[in-house]
Amino acid sequence: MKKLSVYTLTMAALGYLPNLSAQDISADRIYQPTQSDIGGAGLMQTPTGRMNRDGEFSVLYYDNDEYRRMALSLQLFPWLESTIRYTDVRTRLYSDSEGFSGDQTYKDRGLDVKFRLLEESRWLPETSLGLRDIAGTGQFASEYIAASKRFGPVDVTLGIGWGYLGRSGNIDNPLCDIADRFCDRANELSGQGGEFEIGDWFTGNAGLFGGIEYQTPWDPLIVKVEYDANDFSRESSRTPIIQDSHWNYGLHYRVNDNVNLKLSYERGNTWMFGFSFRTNFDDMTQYKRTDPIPAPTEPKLTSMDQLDTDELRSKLRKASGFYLKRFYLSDNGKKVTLVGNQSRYRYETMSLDRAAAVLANYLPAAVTQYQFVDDVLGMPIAQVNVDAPTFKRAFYRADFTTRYKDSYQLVNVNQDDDDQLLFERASELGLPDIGFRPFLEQSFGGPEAFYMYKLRMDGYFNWVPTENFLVNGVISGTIVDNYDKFNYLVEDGEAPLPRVRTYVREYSTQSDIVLTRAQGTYVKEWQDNLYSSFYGGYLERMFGGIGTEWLYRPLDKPWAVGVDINYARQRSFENHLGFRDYDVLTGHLTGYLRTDYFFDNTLLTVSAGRFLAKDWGVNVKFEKKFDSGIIVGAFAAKTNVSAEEFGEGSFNKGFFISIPFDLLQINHSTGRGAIGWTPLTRDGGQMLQRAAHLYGITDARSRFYNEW
Amino acid sequence: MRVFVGLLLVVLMSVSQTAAAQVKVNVYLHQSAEQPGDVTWQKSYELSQPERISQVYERILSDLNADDLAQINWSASRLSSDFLQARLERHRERMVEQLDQLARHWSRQDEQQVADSIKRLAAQVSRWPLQATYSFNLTPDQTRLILQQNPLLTRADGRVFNWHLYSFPHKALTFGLPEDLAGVDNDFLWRVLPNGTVAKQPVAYYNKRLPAACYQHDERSPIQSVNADQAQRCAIKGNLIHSVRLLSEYWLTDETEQLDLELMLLAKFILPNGGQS
Repeated sequence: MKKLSVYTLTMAALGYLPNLSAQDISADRIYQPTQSDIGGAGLMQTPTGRMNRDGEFSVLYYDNDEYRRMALSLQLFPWLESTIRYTDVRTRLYSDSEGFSGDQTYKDRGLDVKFRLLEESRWLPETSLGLRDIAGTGQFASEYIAASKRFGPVDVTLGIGWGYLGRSGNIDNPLCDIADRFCDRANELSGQGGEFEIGDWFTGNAGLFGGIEYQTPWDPLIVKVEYDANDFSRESSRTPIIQDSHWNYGLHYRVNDNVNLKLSYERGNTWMFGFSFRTNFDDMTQYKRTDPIPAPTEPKLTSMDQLDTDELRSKLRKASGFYLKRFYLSDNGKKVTLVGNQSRYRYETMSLDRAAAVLANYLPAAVTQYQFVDDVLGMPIAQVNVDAPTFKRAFYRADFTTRYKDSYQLVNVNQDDDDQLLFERASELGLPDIGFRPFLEQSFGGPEAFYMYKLRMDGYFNWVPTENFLVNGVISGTIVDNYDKFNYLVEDGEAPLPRVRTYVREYSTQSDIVLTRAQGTYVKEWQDNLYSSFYGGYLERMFGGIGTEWLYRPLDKPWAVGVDINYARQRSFENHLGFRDYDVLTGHLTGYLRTDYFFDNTLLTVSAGRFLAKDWGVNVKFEKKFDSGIIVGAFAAKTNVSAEEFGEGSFNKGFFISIPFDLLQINHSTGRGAIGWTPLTRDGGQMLQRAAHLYGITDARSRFYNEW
Repeated sequence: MRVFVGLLLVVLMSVSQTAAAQVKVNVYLHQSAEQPGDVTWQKSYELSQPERISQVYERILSDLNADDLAQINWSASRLSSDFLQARLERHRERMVEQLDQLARHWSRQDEQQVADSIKRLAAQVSRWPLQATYSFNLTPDQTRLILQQNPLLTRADGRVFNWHLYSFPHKALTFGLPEDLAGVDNDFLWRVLPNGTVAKQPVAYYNKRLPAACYQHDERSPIQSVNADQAQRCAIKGNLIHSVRLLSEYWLTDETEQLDLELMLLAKFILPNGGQS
């Protein structure tokens, strides 16, 4: 059987299996760069100069006797690849203290980035510069420049590496001729990890590496051969790793467009295997059940005197999801203003197209402007004016070139002097919107357990007792968790920082049912661009308090600025409603900048101020939105807490992926779900996790989280 | 004098009102693949009221014999207007002017061979047999069944509409520069697909299996400029209308970095089988 498999693969590689039908591989996947053993486009141990298409996302697992590697790799931009990775060092314990980390093996976190320097052309190779295991413990840290050139089915790579990739020192470090400081690599390990050891980059031994990637005539199969310049005599595994050869050989098999299997024979003595899953965040789509835009008819009304607002509300709601709260007539019957909001479509124009079509079919022809005011919690956020004659040209297809969007104009909300109120939804103390949803809290790579989780069922309620006032809350019931393993220890029993986040175990084990949040929020718009909120209650699981947020956000501009200030008190983990003694005045001045000019569909948020542990500093968050609506973000907080005081990781940081619900279902939705990844839970650089931030509430001013 | 001006205004207004109600549609049938410009059947319709495409189609149906009608290659049909054609010609003038400027630039840089190639391309562009069109693949069934594909022919888009129908097999030709000239991009070939999509297809030894970058035709803004960011990945399968070999990006200056893409806005309107050229 084994012989047959080897024979089959060999024949396939040589293209001698004409009857073997090709797998279901899309033509444009055939020459797509493949993942290396440790994540990111590459051969096996070494990287290539290749970049994937932007939005490409891979999850990789690779295994051998010493290491298990799990990596997430994302092509953020055409010129930037980023990889986060856990390496499970199977031959080492996490720590010498069994009481701290039990029998868990050592987990090393790593972050890689690769920048494209040159695109491939007829004469020049695609060339990239990469940094591996930056801001980690530095055990696998390396820097490299790799160049790849394709010759038909063969992709040839040659590179030079420093650090882990160049330990064999098979060439002299060329940078050593430029400056002596490049001759020796001072720091193999970097303390608590998390710091950028820039001084070590491109120093010490250097090694040439390279190899080929051969796309066999059988589309699913790729053969790899690699020369690895690493020297495995000083490994993080702390076990002797014998390297009989610098040559590695591998097979990469594409099961289908999304699944890849990998097998390699490396160091002349070791078999390794792995697999990866891929998708592309730009391409992800979901079939949608979408009601068509109503067909054109003769307007039902000839005069506004015939208006039946109940009928109009019902038609609008059904066709466009627009929930009408107030309806005005002005300018001698030429303008109608509809105050309300829609939460059906992630693309606002999908609702507008349908709502305007309803009005075109219903209102008298004399009405020449439809004004939609986006109202959130009683605050008018933005207004879209629809020029009815232009809209109707597109609606009736009265010419070749007019489009619906030609009739739309985003403006500040304006009230006409002669507004005549024709309808207002009766103010009533309605019932709260109540529901249940599962929620998974998780963290990876902690010393107590690699994966810590709590699967809970959240009962949530949102209640708007009056305009401008929102009460929302969450009651959580734990279904299953392992947070009881969380075992944050402090030397001499005294923590260097107030323990604002590291009481996770205590909160988790207090009770299976807890009040996670009960927050009341009052919002107010002061003028066109200025918004505020006042809130109080149990703001999150660990803190309660009161606070206020103010946001200045001009219409359709790429920037906004806000400030929030909060008095927060730590909640008790001994009873459900009480508080502990620790309190803090915390708040931030926050700037928001759409950086689309530099990077398409991106948002940079910088918050400077005082954090929960009374540390002062800056939190920077960067979000990139892909064509599918998926947002990938990263944040880092650097405060006046030293790396030693902070503990492992040196500073607070994390990543998250925000996924539009409508990618997961056939119905449209404006909702989103997020998956977070925070390497370690520590107390420095922590912000209050309250609900109802004004930047999200006012998204319609210049849409980022939903689409125009 | 006042009376004269008043009378002139009245006359002008009445002429304009009469004209506003009139649209002329010329329908041309081309049946010879060897001489694609030759017209084998022609009819003009004066529309006193705006009519939709499907209504004009009904008129053609009643005037053209069934055999000819059955032979029509709808994916090659071109519906244009004098306004759109005029816009296309203005775009052509701009492109020729830009090419001339680029040729002068490289001539000043002592790259005479490249300058000569660019001049040759400019001369060719000025001769391309172009017929602007709103829609590619304008099939009668679609216009009859889908309102949004059945626009009114009105004065908003033109006074005269020209509808060219072809009833011979389509032959894909290659336009642009020969591959052995200086400055020519031999790594990519531009393609025009039957639905009007323009694709930049990798064809060199190192990139030929990589996906093409495609720019879709927008029938509501057929001559609107696009930029490279709007490209979508696509695989080229099936029929092509034309291929075009243009200049290597290396020879495009900052001012003309989108020149190839802008030239393709013209090239996609080259008549089937290259017109009479």
